[in-house]
This record gives sequence, C-alpha cells and structure tokens, in this order.
Amino acid sequence: MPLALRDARTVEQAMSGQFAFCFPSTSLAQAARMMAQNRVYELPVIVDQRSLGYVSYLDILQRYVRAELGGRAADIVRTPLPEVRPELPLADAVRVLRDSGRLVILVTTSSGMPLGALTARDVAFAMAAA
Amino acid sequence: MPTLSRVLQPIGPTCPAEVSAADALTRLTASGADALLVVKGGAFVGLFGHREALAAFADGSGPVEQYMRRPLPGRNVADSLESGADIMYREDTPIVLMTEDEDRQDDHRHGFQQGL
Repeated sequence: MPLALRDARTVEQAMSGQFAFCFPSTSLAQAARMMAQNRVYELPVIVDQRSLGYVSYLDILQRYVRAELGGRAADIVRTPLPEVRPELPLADAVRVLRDSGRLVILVTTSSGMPLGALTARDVAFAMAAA
Repeated sequence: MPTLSRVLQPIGPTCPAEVSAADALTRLTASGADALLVVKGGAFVGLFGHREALAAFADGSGPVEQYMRRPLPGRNVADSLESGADIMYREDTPIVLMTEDEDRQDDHRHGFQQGL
C-alpha cells in the first residue's frame, strides 16, 4: 500500500520542535558553523518571532570561496520560506517541500509564530518509522 | 586557491540500485548518513538522499534507481575548491563525488565533498 495512504500523521508528529535558525544579524561564518553542527543546508532567519526567509548553504559556499564571509545573514537571505500548520497532514507538507525545492519548511501558528521546522530528514525518519 | 582534496571525505554507505526506495530509506536512516551512493554493475550511478526520499513518500515500492539523483555530480580532487563550489551551486547538490586520476590514485580514490 502506498505510504501516503496509510500515513495519517500530521506535521506536528514529524517536525522538530527544536531547530537551528539564525537572526538577520548573524554573521555568515557563524551561520556556516551552525549549519555544519546541525547538519542542515538551509537555515531559517527569524526576527521578532517571524520568519524573514532562509539562508542557503549554496550562497554561503560561494561567499566562502570568494573569501567574503564578512557579511551577515541579512545580506544573503532568500525568500519566501514556506510555512505550514502543525495540524496539516504530513503528505501535504511533503508536497510543499517537494514543490518548493526546500529542505526545510517552517511550522507556524496561524499568526506566523514559529513552532518548529520540518526538514527532509524529518520526513525520511518518519517514513522509515511508518 | 586550495584543491578539493582539502575537503575530501571518505565514501559513504552504498546501496544496490535494485532495492526498493523504502528499503533504501531504511538503510539511509539507519546509517545516519546524508545520502547513499547507489551502485549498479560495480559503478556508482546515483545518489539517494533525504531530498530524493521525498519523492518516494507516496509510494516507495519502486526500485531506488527510479528516485535517485542522476547523473552524480563529480569533480577531480585536483580541481579547485571554487570549481567544486560552482558545480554544487549549479546542480543544487550538497554532495559531489570526487575522483582521482589513475596515475595519482592512492587510498582515497573516491570520496565525497560536502557543503560547509
């Protein structure tokens, strides 16, 4: 049987309540360290309990190669970072991840306050546990 | 500019191309690695990571080679770090397979370059 049909789980059951993020003022060197330590490739940028977008390892990598790690997350932030609600079926969130091409999406309240993050790694572990 | 040999990492876990995506996913999560190298006929033919696993969410019964990333982005260990970053950016991949010329091969003929 297809995994999605027998998987009635919601985003809340697969997401990470604690997740790596940075602020617009976070230095690119620090953002790179956070990515490496947390084994993520995209880092949400949070300000005033709202998502501003995300920082991609690709942009940091380019800066590193050009020896330009003196900037801040705000300098390379990409938008938008998709947001989903915790009660959304996991299958729908997977569709959001796939369609957006992101490796992380933010789980938020209806008012946009971050509750957690759902990564492709989270989904892989949820699928393997099904 | 340093060469890619500076960021070379040992080759990660592998997986036969014939196994199901669901089985490959189990192997991937059990390994703790970011991706599996998919092997067919003794050669690396693709990469199966968390991003590729998303495509198997609806139905993971098909062989992993239906879902894997192909072709596998590659570079020579003697290439510059800049060229590695360039292919990672263009192919949007955090992992690049690295190879070495036959006359310069040693114990790390193949390996991964991972972002950051």
